[in-house]
Amino acid sequence: MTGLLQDGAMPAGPLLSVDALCVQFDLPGAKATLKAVDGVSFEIGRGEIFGLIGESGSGKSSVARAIMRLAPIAAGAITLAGTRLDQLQGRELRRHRRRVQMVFQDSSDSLDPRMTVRQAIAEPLRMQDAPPADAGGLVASLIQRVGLDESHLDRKPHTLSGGQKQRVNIARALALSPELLVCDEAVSALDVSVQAGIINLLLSLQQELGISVLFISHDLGVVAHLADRVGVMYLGRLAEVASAEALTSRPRHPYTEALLAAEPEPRPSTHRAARPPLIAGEVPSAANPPSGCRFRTRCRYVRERCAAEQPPLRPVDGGGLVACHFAEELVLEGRRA
Amino acid sequence: MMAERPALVVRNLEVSFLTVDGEVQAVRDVSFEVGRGEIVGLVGESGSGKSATALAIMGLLPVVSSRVRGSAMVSGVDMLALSPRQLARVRGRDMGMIFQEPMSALDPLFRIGDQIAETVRAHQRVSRRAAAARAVEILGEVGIPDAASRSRAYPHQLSGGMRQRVMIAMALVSEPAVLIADEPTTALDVTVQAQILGLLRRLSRDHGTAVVLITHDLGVVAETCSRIHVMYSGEIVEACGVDEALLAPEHPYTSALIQCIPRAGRHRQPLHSIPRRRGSSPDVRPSGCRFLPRCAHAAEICKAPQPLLDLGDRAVRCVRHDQLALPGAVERVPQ
Repeated sequence: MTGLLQDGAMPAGPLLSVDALCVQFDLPGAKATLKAVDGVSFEIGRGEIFGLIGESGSGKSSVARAIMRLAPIAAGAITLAGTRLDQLQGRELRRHRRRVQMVFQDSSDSLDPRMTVRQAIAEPLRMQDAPPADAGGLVASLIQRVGLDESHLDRKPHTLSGGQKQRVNIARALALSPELLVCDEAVSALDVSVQAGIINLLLSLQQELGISVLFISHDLGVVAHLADRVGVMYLGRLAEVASAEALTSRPRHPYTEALLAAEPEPRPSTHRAARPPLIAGEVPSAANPPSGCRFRTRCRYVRERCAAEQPPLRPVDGGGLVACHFAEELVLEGRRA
Repeated sequence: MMAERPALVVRNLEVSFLTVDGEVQAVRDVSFEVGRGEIVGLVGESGSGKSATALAIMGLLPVVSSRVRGSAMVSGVDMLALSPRQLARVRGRDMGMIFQEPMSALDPLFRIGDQIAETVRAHQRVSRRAAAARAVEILGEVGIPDAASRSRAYPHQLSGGMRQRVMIAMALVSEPAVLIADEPTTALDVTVQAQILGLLRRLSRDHGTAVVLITHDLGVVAETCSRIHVMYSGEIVEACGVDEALLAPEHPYTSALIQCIPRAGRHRQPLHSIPRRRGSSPDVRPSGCRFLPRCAHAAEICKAPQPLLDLGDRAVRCVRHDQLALPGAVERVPQ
């Protein structure tokens, strides 16, 4: 309903707003639930690339799937330019689905091996209520937009390289002119030389089409390079949200500091900080998370209050948000310039 | 320095696979050595032949569909000349291997302590009790907390990082001279990766194990290895010290690979990528330099076959290496 009000009006405010999102899965057998996402809030501005980083079990993919309405939303709101995506049902949901499109990690699994590239890109257009008159021309311009050419249109996926397939997936996601592109580990399976090309493509799409991107990855280096702002997730919650530059040069959460320290630096020993890993152990199970601050079991700055009280995500000086009771006191080390 | 014989000496290794389209060469003219207590990186992208090199040295390639030539000397014995039976005896004892996915190396039906003890008894004449004690000891050494009770766990009861530690324990329990680690941390979270790389460094130093670390990640090499061998399309294109490669690469592929990685201070600037030129296919290899179709510095002379040039402390497969001032991982201050 609110979506109708927005039609034609000049948009204001963020494009996407995620508010206190909870995603919950029932564990088979055991009478328990797993809170994959537990109270996550963030916004993505128009034309912004927002990065979401976290290790396995952090819930970053569940956030993406909730936005796509592919995961069960237990609580919270997801609003895309005034439309409550989380409340849409049936026909309405289908009508709004085109506004958010997703690119996945596995570029092969997302393409039907029997379809040509032309058919794959045209498919979303064909599924619309009113297919565009010049679908053929649109497909041709899309394939060029992602850095391939028309000679690729009549090929089948198996004749393409991994990078080319991912470009086709992006063209296909762009076919319906979405407002938000959700990339879940979209470059993680690619060789670095190919990954660099896809990162460049996403940057140019943002600059030229003004598209907003939610870019999810476990690779801090890639996220920090591409994103305007970055959210760091740990065990279903946001630990920190800040601009990519502030996050890497001056982290405010101990987990962000530990991630930066663990990142292997491809630099000669003379230009590398010889730091021991800052955290031991592994991420605890999301089925039975620690009380209070979820990072406390691995945090080297842990104090009594951390077990008793859950730190809220709150603003700190410098413009970022952090969920740590002691953010003001801690002097944390960022990346070496 | 050279008084001691290297733990692993690979000479002129060639690997090809027999396919329906004929024989396809995966590895060509690969030679390198690894000293005691040294960690050497074998780096390349998919299709570079780095894993085929590892599997060939371990004698793990299928006999029917592959052909391996050359030699791989471990403790004076050529691994490539052994019969399958002889190989089974040395594998695990003189040479261990760890893989990306630990579940593929662990048997889901047996407790991890029993699996390690079985490895011990396969190579040493010791009692069951002694083997079990040795298993607990090595599990503790690779950083498994509460090793005695964890040794009774089944693989599925452990996290990915713990399974990787178990695989390392199993590979090292017989104190092999050589350990081949094929993408050992690729499937792990970055904080766990840092712990496992630290563990490999410590074990290699303490036990003098020679480690061949196979990875696509230059960061992992920088943090772990002393020397690097960069592979492209089945060949070593550059071999030198890790710092030298990162500071002043001499092969265009090494330099391009470094430039592809996002780096601090260049936020949102276009990254260097290595485009696959039209018409170039990994199946069709040029007779000259194999990197030629993708090289930004290609010249007429590159169409001739390129030998690996020995420059003393470095080897480069590029005839133009001394004419190019290629960028490395840090800005070079003009002198």
